[in-house]
Amino acid sequence: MSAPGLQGLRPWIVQRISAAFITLFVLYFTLAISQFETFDFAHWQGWLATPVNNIAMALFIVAVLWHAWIGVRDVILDYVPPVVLRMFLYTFMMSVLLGSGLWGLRALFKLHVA
Amino acid sequence: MRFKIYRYNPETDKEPYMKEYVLQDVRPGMMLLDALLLLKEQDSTLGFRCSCREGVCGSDGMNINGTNGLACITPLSGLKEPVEVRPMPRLPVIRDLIVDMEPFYKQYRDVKPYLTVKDPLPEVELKQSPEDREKLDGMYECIMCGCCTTSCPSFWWNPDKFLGPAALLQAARFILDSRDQATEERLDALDDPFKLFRCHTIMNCVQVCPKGLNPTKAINDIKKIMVKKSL
Ligand code: SF4
Ligand code: SF4
Ligand code: FES
Repeated sequence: MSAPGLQGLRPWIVQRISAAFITLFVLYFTLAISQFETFDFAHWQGWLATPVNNIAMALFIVAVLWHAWIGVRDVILDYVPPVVLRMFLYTFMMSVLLGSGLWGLRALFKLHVA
Repeated sequence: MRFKIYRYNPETDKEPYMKEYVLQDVRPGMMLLDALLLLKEQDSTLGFRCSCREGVCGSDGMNINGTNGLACITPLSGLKEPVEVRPMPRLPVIRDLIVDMEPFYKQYRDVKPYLTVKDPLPEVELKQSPEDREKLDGMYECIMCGCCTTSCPSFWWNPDKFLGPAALLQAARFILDSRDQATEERLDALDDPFKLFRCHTIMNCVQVCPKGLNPTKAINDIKKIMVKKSL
């Protein structure tokens, strides 16, 4: 087995569901900020602090990163045959994506607590 | 008419090269295979496969001006000069236009292309309604020429792990067969990151199939059935 732990169907489904959620959220988000009278930091923070928007944004971050992960994984599976290099790239990409995800979620959470 | 044909004899040539040929007596209605046969009279060392010369045996798949097709049903009149003929991509070359089809046949064997029935077999025959039989149209007609699989980028990148459009078309043919009783096992075998899911719907396969078949649709049908089963 050259790619332990990787699956076929599940990532494919996740890719499609996350794509749908990303599209919906971007529409909702565009609509929401187009309603702002003035576009400043306070407005933006206030919008993000409401529970619905806060959770939606958190889900959006997770969806984008998960979607990105599957996309990157696909590219690596297609173009990088050497197993060791493949494993290195997986680990590297996983750290980058997880890191930015946790960082984003922390910012959202802090906002909510404050 | 001018031709440039890929030549390679691994026993004597260090590298493949393109050899130029000129054919004088091109008559209307001639196919590329007719031209190759005449060129072989000029140069008997030119190697290629053919048999039925009417698009049913699938032995003369080759890359013609950059597109895979069967020489016997490709009219010369539609081809730009010089006509560049190469072996089908990404399969080992045995000689000139003759490729080793073994990797392609292995993919075919991998999908267990035969009916699997677990119940005791009936006395006479396994029956199928005309409607169920119709579901196999567009799949059983494949002549295993290899044009689709060798034109598929996903096959070029992972020839040993991705099964390729031709084998996947046959996988679908047995998954959708009302008489087959190994549907579950067939689907499970394909649920892996390479065998089926390397297909990115590039559709080169559909474009080149000389029988007008649609492996992309078959692949998407398998995915749909998998999703339904997993719910
Ligand atoms: S649709 Fe799939 S199988 Fe057909 S050429 Fe594209 S990637 Fe290959
Ligand atoms: S699907 Fe078409 S192109 Fe592919 S092997 Fe069968 S006949 Fe040839
Ligand atoms: S010679 Fe049989 S398909 Fe062309």
